Amino acid sequence: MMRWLYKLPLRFRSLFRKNRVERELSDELGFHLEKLIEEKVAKGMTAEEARYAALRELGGVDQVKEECRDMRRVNFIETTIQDIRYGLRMAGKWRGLTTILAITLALGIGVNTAIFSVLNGWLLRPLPVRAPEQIMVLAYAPESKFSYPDLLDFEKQTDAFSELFAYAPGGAGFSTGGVATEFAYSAVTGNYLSALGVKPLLGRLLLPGEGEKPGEELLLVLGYSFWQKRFGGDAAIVGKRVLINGKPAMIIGVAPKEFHGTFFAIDMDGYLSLNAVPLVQGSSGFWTDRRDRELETLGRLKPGVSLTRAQSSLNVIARRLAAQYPATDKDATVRVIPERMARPAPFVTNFVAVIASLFLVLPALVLLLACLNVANILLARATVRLREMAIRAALGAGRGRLIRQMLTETLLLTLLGGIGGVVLGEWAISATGSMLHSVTSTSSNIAYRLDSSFDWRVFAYTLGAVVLSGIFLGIWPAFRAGGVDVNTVLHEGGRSDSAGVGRHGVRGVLLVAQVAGSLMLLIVAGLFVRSLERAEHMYLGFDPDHVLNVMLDARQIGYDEVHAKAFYQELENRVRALPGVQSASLAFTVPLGMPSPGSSIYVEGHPLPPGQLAPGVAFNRIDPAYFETMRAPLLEGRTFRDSDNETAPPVAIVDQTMAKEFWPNQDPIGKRFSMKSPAGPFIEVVGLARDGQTDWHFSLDPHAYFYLPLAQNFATFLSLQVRTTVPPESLVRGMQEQIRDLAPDLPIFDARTMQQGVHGLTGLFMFRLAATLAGVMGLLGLTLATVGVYGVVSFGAAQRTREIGIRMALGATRSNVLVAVVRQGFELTLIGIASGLVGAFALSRLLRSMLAGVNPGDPGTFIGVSLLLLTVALLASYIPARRATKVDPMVALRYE
Amino acid sequence: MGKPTDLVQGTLDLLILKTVALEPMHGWGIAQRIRQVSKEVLQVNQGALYPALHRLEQSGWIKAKWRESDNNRRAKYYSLTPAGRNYLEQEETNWKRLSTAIGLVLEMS
Repeated sequence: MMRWLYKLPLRFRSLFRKNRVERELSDELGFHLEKLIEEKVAKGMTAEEARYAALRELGGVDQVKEECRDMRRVNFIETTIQDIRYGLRMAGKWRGLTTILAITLALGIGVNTAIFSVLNGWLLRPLPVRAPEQIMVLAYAPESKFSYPDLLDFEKQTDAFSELFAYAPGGAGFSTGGVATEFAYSAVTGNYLSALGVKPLLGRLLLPGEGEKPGEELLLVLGYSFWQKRFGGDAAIVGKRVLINGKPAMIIGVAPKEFHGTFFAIDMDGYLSLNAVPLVQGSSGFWTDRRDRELETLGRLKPGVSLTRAQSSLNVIARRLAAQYPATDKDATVRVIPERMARPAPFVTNFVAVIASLFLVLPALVLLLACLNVANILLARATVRLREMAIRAALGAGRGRLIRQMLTETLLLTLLGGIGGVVLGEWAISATGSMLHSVTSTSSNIAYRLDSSFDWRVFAYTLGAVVLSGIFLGIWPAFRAGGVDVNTVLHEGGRSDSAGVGRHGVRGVLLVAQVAGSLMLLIVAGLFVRSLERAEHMYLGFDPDHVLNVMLDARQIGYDEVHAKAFYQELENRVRALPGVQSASLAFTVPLGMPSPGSSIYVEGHPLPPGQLAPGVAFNRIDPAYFETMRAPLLEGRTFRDSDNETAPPVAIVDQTMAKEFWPNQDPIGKRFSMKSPAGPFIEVVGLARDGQTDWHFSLDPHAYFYLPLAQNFATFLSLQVRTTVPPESLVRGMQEQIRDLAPDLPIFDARTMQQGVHGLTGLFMFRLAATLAGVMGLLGLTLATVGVYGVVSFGAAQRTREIGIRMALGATRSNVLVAVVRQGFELTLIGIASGLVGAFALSRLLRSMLAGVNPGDPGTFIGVSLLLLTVALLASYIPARRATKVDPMVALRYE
Repeated sequence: MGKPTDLVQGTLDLLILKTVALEPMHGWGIAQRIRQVSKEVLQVNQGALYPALHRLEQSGWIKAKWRESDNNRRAKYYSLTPAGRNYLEQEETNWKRLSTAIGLVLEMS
């Protein structure tokens, strides 16, 4: 192998430095000649005689040169260039066919490029920070977040990490010059930015330890896009003070453009010092309370430390802390996960990996189908080109040379397809991008950052697809071409189709695979569509039509509870008076809106077994009009009343699942539970709500959930629901006016209709996206299979022209011929469907978790799709079959 | 001294490799050395020498370098690559086996 070291430079020299090589050759031979002449002169010849004698002896300088050149010309690169030229000439000759084949491949490759680009941007691209491979996510269990005292203990005691750093994401009102906007930020430890290796674009970043002591000023590093958007890139912004939720904060710098924070898919507007958690988010016990777990924690691994060592080092610390603080840290464990594996951060789950692999399998299948189609056509063409190959073989082209030629040609073809595929893929990405944009932009002001741009990984993946399919496609025709028997072919006049493997030939086998593959794609598509359908028809628990939901946070302009209560009450009253408003209500959140808080539940009279944690249940805070406005049915008991206020005994409404979980087979009305301790204070259940969507994301199974009266459990962050008789969007303006009138600085956190919520990113969008993607791929597969069946049957019929002619001459009727030809395609399709069903059965198991309760072996889908494919295949073979029946026996027999 | 014997087909490569194995040498020098060492028996066909050198170079068995020759003239000096050294050993063994075998056949009777 070492020889390459010497060979390669020589190859390049003879290719690219031809003149120099030629001159050296002349010099070398000239030197020899002179030596020869010198020798002869020394022997006594005259200079003239010696020269002639020497030339004679050398055998002619030019002949020798030519021979030397020949030695050089056995050259891989030169041959390849020759092959490529020839390939391009052939592509030009078969222009129409080449175009069709390239488009087919472009479709197959494009789907792969697009989907891979998206996954790449989401899951594979490293953070734009220094040595991203050292960054680990520390997932605390059971709640995934660290408390500040825990973080300090871990940082002090670990020897596996050079630094631990943390952030707490949040939203706030950002106000300067009397204009308030929504602001998505990360409150970060002082060392967060420096440990990641982020360099300031402007000003400075936070220093380690800065902002982590009570009484310090709030410091702010702006994100690049927010700085551009809000301040037009004004460099003089550093040193200015702004209000964050009414608290003054000083801007000390701007983060670089490529840094977006470590929260998955969101472009942070800024990075506040950690004291924002107590100051802005209002967690008063944050610095000292181990139960106050707010921090998403990461660490930079020391160089040379393995993941296992880091893990065991943290295990030791976790055990130590558990012994030291049994009340709060008893069951604590910490898992170390490389940052990229922990995406979407901070929601650590392996669900994404399943989706990712699934969505790589489907496009791979499409590409396979495209390749099978192209292979089919190439095989047919290889038959036509046998003559050409035979002639080249007769002229002395070796077997290897012919194989290489064919491979070069198919690689050229797939390369062409690859280029088209990248173009198509980029287009598809921007199309899905705008589809995504249409749901995200209405749902909030937060800048989503779904970076699916082209990078070397996408390039490598696409190139891999190109090369693999090129080889896959080329190998068969290549070996056929290589194995050409000159005599047979030249004598048979190029008519033979000796590809026969069994009755139907290799093309038949390819067709079976094609039908099977497209059936699998179609079934997956069918299952996703069924799942979307099911999700769409699920009972929501409320009526989303004509409801507008506006989220506000009165704390963003520094209102305290008393002010906020008055403000919301006044706003609600004013909105009720607006024309077109049927009813209005206030609640902490709505289904498919913001996440609900959760609480431990202690049922009265049911003490927990020792050592067992109280179960947690999510809840909402609502005012008396909520159930009416949302048209959420109450099954039993009553809704809240205005009299359920701070002075009245605490009450709650529970949903069916919660009732079933805590009071099985009993009437929940009148039962009591506590959110604080087994000893109370207790809350009495006064109503039973019907199960429905309650969570912030669409869920297929009902969750335990309960409601508390807003008056007894106030929050400054609230949303206002408005049921209208007019289109709900039209009310946004009027409400904005009312809000501006009452509190000029208060930004609207979010305004959207309940329908938008239901169909939004956390609602049905994912189901629709999956159904659309799978549907597109299924349609592609169906098209490819149809073309495939058509191609094979018509090719088969064309080859049997003579046979058909003879049969008809011997008295076969048109229908006999029709049946014979159609049967060929039909049999193959049946075999394909049978094997496709087996494959689909296996594939659909993988999907189980993503199908909204649809049986992965759903008989309706399986049978329906099979019938659809069979019908299409029958039609595709009927057309060429009919043409075959039009054969005139006399013409057919005279043919050739 | 009789008429110089033409080289047996295929042995030229072996002779070239063996000659340049000792020290880097230019084409002329290689031809001279083979003649001298074989006591004028082996005469390298000058027309075949250079194509052979170029073929060996392209195959990576020998490498070339331009250097000053004895009387201040530039000449192309060939020397063995490590791969060439292995190849030479292998070929030498083959040759010895072959010549012994031929010798055995000739001594029969």
